[in-house]
Amino acid sequence: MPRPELKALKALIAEHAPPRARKVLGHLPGLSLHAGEGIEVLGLARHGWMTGFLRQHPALRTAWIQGEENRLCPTALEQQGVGLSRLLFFERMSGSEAIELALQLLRSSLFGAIIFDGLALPSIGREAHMRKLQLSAEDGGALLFFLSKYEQASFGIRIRIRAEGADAVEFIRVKGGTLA
Amino acid sequence: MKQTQEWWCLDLGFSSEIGAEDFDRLLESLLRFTPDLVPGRKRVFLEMSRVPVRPKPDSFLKRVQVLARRIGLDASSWRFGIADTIPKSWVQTRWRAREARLLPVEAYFDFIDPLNHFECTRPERERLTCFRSLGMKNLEYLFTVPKAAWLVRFGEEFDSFLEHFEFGERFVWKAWKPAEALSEETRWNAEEWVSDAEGLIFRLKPLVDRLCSRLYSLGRAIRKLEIVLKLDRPVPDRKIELGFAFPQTSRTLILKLLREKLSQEMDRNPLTDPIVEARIGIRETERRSQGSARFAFSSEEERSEEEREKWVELISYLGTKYGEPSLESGARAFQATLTEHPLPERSWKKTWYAETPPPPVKRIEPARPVLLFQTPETIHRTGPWLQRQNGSFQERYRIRSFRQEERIEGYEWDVEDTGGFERTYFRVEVENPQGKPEEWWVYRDELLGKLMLHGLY
Repeated sequence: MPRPELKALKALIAEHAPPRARKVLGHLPGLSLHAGEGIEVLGLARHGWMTGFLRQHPALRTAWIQGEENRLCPTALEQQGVGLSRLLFFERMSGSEAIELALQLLRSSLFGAIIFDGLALPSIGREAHMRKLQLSAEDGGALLFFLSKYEQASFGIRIRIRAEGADAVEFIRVKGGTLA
Repeated sequence: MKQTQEWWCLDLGFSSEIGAEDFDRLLESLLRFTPDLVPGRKRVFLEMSRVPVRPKPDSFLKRVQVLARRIGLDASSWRFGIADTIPKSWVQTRWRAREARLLPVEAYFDFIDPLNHFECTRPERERLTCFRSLGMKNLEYLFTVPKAAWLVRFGEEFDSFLEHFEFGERFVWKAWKPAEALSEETRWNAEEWVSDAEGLIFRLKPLVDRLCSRLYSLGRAIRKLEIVLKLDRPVPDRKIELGFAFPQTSRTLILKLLREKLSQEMDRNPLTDPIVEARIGIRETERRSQGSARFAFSSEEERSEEEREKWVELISYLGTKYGEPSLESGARAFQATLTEHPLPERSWKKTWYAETPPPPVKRIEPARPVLLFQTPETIHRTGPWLQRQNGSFQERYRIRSFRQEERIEGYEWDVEDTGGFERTYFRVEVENPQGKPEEWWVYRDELLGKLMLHGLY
């Protein structure tokens, strides 16, 4: 299709289609987090940052899917004010298992956050899969968090956060908006 | 005060015989109304006085008809009656008389043996002729003659009639108990080849339906079941066990899990011969929880009933699929609950609590690290450096600060499973080889004199 026609079509859609109202599930400084958004959390203190986020959002029922043997200490989570009754833990999940599981959890609409921890994004991050996850999360009213050691190029990540310590948190990339 | 009994007699009609197996199924189904059942010949007595919410008589019969239809019985001609004793409930159901004294004289023999009397034998018929020739039309006439005269003439027989007629509550009865082992099986021809899990599930569905229905009547839920597949060849039967993290009553969920289990089994060991027989046996059951069970999140916020059911179903499914019901270390999905064990790595355990949240344990201070190693790593201190093994390399971390956090000790007699220990914990700020700060949770094993890295903040 020639480019001008495509532009016209987009303008027509923008004019007639009402904007999709997406549920706001959480907040970061200067930014609202809507259902279906993908957030990548990097850095050595990523687990600490994630715990802090969950403490600030007590209404989010969370599934924490880990690629390796569980290293999270539920005692610490409870100490930091994250109620254990709203957390489901999964460990030793492969990429494909994690996606299948996440889709199932999202279908139930019971979860507000799905955390992929230590699952290499390239193995799960094929665009089709990520898009499917994103759409399911949008429908199921959930946020997607990807905790990894190193930054990985992937479709669907809107915000990238680097947490190197309690006071060293950096929002390093934002798609479609700006962070304060 | 003596409690009056209330017997509901279900008369199963006289037209057709009911097989013993079907009759047992029917009794099992009737257990949903009351645990006190007394079977008789083509009749069942239900003691309803202890049932808190009794069904209305009309709806009772309709429900019984539905249950009978599931078993394959025609219940259109079944009737039932209510009285305060077993003998009276039977004769009133059979003869449809409100007043026991106005019952026809034929009811005399029904009173004598209310559980089994069905048709009059030849001597009984002769006696009835005799009664009628004496002008007796109903039981009331029997009482016009002095009892002593009847006792002399008929002895024990009349005595038992009187006993059942006047003091029916003394009638000795024994409640029926269902079979302890529950199983259902189905057979088909070898030509009807079943090659995949889907086909097998199609065959097994009626069995699961029947088992769930039976368990519902018994007030039980499935914990573990076993499927035995018999192949069209003299080889050992294939046995597949399926355990549930939570006791199950939902047939939809059972079938879903069964489908997954069978798919895995078939992928691992494909079928080489046709299956000719399948049997599902219930290995373990548990008392079915009532609807008043609490929801894990009820204390935090109110959840709708639908959401609660969804949650319990999801937890049950995940628990069965990823976590072993026994919650051994093999469980890949779990919830966590805190324990009172003094060792940090044992201060929590894997568990499932779909319906009842675990009791709170005492608060632990100071803050523990978010990441905790199940097996602590040995590290070495050399001046301002801490050395940590990374694969085959030794990495050096510069110490920025070193602060004692807590001291944990346990004696052999206190912690029998781990033995005694004495640990002094430190919160250490280090700079990694890349120059980035890290916070470690380190302890000194006072018994071994070693420094161990136990967690990361």
